[in-house]
Amino acid sequence: MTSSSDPIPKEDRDHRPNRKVKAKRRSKILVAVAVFVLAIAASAYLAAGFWCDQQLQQANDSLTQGNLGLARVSARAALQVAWTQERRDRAKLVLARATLSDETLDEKAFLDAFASLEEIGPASSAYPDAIAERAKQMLLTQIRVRAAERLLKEAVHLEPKHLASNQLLFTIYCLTNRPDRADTAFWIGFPQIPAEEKPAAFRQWFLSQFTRNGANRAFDVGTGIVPPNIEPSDEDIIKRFITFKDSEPDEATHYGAMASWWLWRTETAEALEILQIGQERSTSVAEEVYLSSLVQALLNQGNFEQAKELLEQWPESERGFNYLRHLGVYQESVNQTALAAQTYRKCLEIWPGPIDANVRHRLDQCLKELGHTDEALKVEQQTAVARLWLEERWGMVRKAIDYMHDEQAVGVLLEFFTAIGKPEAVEFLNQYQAELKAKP
Amino acid sequence: MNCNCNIGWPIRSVAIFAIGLLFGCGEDQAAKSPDKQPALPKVGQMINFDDILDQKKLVNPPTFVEVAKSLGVSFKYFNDAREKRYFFPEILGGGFACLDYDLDGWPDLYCSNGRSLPLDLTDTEHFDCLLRNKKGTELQDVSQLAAVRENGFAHGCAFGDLNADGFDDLAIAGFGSISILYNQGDGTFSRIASENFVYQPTWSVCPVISDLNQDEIADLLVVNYVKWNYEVPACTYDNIRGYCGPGEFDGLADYLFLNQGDGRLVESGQSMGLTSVGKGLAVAIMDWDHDLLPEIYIANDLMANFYYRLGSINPMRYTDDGSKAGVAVCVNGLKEASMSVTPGDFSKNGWTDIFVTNYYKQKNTLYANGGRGQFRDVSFAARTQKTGEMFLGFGAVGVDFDKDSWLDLFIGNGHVLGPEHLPNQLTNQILHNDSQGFDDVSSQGGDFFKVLTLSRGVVAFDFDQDLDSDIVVNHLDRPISILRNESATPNRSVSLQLCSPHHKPLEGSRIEITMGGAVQALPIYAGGSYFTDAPKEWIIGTGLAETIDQVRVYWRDGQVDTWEQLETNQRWQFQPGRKIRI
Repeated sequence: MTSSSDPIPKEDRDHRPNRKVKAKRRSKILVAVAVFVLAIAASAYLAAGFWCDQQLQQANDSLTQGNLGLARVSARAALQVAWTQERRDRAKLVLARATLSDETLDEKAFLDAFASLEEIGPASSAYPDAIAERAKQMLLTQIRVRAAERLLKEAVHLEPKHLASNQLLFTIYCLTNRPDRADTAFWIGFPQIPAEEKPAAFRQWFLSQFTRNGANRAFDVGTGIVPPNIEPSDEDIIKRFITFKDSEPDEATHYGAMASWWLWRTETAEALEILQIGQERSTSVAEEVYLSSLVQALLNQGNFEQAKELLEQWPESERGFNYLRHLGVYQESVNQTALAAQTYRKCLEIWPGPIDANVRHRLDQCLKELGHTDEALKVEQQTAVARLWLEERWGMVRKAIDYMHDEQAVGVLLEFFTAIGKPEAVEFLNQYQAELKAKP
Repeated sequence: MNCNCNIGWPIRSVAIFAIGLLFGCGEDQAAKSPDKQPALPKVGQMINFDDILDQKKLVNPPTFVEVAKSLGVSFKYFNDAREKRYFFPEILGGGFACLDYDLDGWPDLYCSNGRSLPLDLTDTEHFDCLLRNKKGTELQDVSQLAAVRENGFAHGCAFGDLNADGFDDLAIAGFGSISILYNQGDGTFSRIASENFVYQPTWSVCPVISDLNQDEIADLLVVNYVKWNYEVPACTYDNIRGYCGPGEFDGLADYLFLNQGDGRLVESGQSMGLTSVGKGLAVAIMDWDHDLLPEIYIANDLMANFYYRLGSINPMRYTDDGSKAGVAVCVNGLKEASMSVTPGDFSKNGWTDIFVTNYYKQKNTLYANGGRGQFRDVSFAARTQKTGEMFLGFGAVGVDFDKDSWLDLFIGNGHVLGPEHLPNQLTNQILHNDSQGFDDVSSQGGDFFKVLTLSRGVVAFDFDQDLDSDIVVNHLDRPISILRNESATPNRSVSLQLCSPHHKPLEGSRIEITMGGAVQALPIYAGGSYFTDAPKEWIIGTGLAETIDQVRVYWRDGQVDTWEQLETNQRWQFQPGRKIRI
C-alpha cells in the first residue's frame, strides 16, 4: 500500500491516537478479560473442588455407616464435578468400594468397579488404597492370595504404614503359614487401629503366633471353606491350602505353606510329597516359605548337604528368622557349635525373640558345649520361664485371650508377655489395662 | 520434576500451573518396585526328590521269620480290653525277662501277663508264663512246674540274683502289685515273704535288678507310672472317645528297694535321691560316663527323662543330671512322650548312646554320647526323626542283624488311643545302621513287617544259639511273636558275655572291642527296651574278620583285662583274668 492512497488527510493524521497507545489499551482490555476469565475459571474450579470434596466426604461417611447406595450416589456426584485426576481417582475409589461391598449388585457391577480401581495410577495418592482394595477383592472373591500379596507389597512400599495393606498382609501371612512376617505386618498397622478394635485385633495376632489354624477362621468362613458356626478341622485347613493351590497353581508359596503345615504336624514325608508336586507344577521362583519348608524337611530327614546347598542359594534380602533357624540347626548338626550359637543369637534378635523356646534351648545347649557357662545359665533361665508359660501355664493364657474384657485375664496376658519378653504386646496391654480400670 | 499429573478437562492449559501448585506431583515411586529383588532359584531347579524319597535296598537284607508256633508257643498277653471301657492299664501291655533259670546254658523266657480289670482275685485263668528253652527247638511252658502262678495285672519283669545264690530271681511289676520270685535252684520259684517286702501298692510298671548302692548286692528299682483310678472317664479326641493319656494324671515317684542282705528289701528311694515325681515307663542301668558306677536312665511319658548319677553331690545319693547331660528333653527342649530306652554304641565311638522311642508324630530320639556322659540329640542326623515320626514306638532293641558290626534297631510299634482312632495298629520296623544313620528296611525284612499290630515289649536274645540275635515281641492284639533271625550274610559274629564271681551284679562293667582301629563299647546293662530284661550277652557282627583285634573288659571294681586276636564265630565268656570259649 502507498501513501497516496491514504484516506486520512495529513493534518488529521497527526491528531490520530498513537498506535502504540491503542495497542496498549487493547492489551489492557485483553488482560482484564483474561484475568476475569481466569478468576471465573479458578472460582469455578475451586467451587467444583469444594463441592466434589463435600460429596466425597458424604460418600465416605455413608460407606462407613454401611449405607452403600447413598455412598454410590455421592461418589458419582463427586465424579461428575471432579476436575482433577486426583479427585476423580478418589471418587472412583469410594464408588468402587461402595459397589464391591454391596452383595446385592450383579457381577457386571463388580467387574466395572474392579476395572475402575485398575484405572487409578501409581501417581495418585489414592493408589495405595486402590491397590489395597483390589488386593482385598483378589483375596476374598478370587482367592488369588499371592497376586493380592504382590499388590499389597506395592502399597506398603509406597506407604509403609498403610493400615489396610498391612492388615491384609497380616491375614495373608497367617493364611500361608508365615507367622514371622505376620508379626511384622501386624505391629506396623496396630497403632492406627481404632482403640475399640484393638483387643480383637490383638487376639488375632496372638492366635497367629501361637496356633496354626485359629487365626484364619474368619477367612475360612468368609470364603466358604468352612460353614459358619463350625470349628475348622484339620481337613478344612487342608481344604484351604488346596483352594489356594488350585487358584494359583504356579505359585511355589502355596506348596511351601502347605508343606510347612505338615511339618508343623511332624509329617515330613507328607511335606516332601507336597514340595515335590510344587516342584513339578510350579515354574515360579522358590519364595521363602517354599525354601524354608524344603530346607526344614531336608534337615528333618538328615539330608544336610542338600540343605546346605539350598541355604547357600537363599537370597541375602530374605535371610530372616527362618533362614537363621535352619542355618543354626545345620551348623549344630555338623558340629560347628560356635557358629551355631552365633546364628541362634542373631535368630532370637529377629523373631519371635524370647517366645521361641526351641531356639533358646538349642542356644543353651551350644553354649554349654562351648563352656560359656554364665551365658548358658542366663539363656537356660529364660528358656525355663518361656517353657513354664508355654507348657504348664498355657491353658490359663489361652483362656485369657478369649476374655479380653476381663481385667484379670488381661493381667494374666500382661504377666505372660512380660515373662517371655514381647515389648509391643506389653505396651498395648498396659494401656488397655489402664483403660479397663478407668471404666466405671 | 517428573510430572505425571493429568487433568481431565479443556482448561488444562490455563489451570495447569495453579493445579500443580495446589496438588503437587508425585515422584515416580513405581520405579522402586518391591518385586525387584535378587533372583531366587526356580522351584524346578531345586533338588532331585527321587534321591530323597527312594527307599534304600540292602544287599544283605534282614530276614526274620515268625517261629512261635513251631516252638510250641501260643502265649498271648491278656489285657482285658473291653469295648468303650477305656481302662488305662489295658493299653500298656507286657514284657519279658530272658533268664537262664535252670542254668542249662540256654536262655529261657518269662512272659508277664495281665488279668481281669477291675483287679479280680478270683481270676484263675490268666497267669504269667515261664517258657523253658529246650536247646532252641522248643519253648516249653513250665509255669506250673516252676510254680510261677503270678496273676497280678503285670507289665514289666526283670531278673537278677537277689539272694546271691547263683540262680537268677525274678521281679514283676504291675498295676497294683510288685512280685519278687526267688529261684530255688530246683526249677521252682517261691514268693518273697510279705514282711520282707513292704511297699505301698500303686501303678508300677517296670522293675530292674542291679546293685544301686555299691554294696555288691543286687537291689531292686521299680518305675512307677501315674495315679490312675477306675473312676476316671474316657477322654475325647476330635469328638471320639478314647483312652486318656498321662497328661490327665499326676505322676509318681519311683521305688528303690535296697537289699539288706538278710532277705529284706527296704524302700529307700527318697533317701537315695530318687525324689523326682515322674511318669516312667522304661529304665536302663549302666555306666554311661565310664566312672565304673552305674547310672539310672528312666524314660518318662510326656515329662523330662531322668538321668540319675551317683555321687555328683553326695557319694551315696543319686542326683538327676538329665538336663546337664543333655538327655532330659529333645534337641528343641521339648519333653517327649518316651516309651523305651535302648543303650548301644551306635556310632562306634567307644561310648554308649541312648535310643528312646517316643509318641506318634514325635521323633524317636538318639542321644549320642560324645564322651564322659555328655550327650547330644542327633535324631536329625541319625535319621531317627525321619524313620520314627509316623510311628508310636514301644520296645526297641539294638541288634546287628547283618553282622557288619554296626548296631541296627528293631522297634515294636502300636498306638494307644483305642480302636476308634486311626492309626491304631502299626507295623513294626527294622532300621539299618549304615554308619551315618538309620534307614527303614522293614519292607525287606519279611512278612512279619507287613502285619499291623499293637506291639509293646520287645527283647532280643539268641534262643537258638546260632550267633545272631532273635527277637520276641509282645502284642496286645495277638500272641507273642518269636522272630528267628535268618538274615543271610557272609559276615561273621561273636558272642561276648561276662560272668561275675560270687554272683555280684555286673552293671558298671563294660566290654570294649577294637577292630580296624575303631573302638566299640558293649556295655553291661540291666533293663532297657520296654518292660523287658535281656541276657547280659552281646552278639555283635565282625564283618568278614576272623579275629577281633582286641577285647578289653573293664570290671566294675577297676580291674581291666585285655585279650588279643579272639576268634570270631565263637561264644566267649569272660571272668576276671580269664576267658572261656563256651
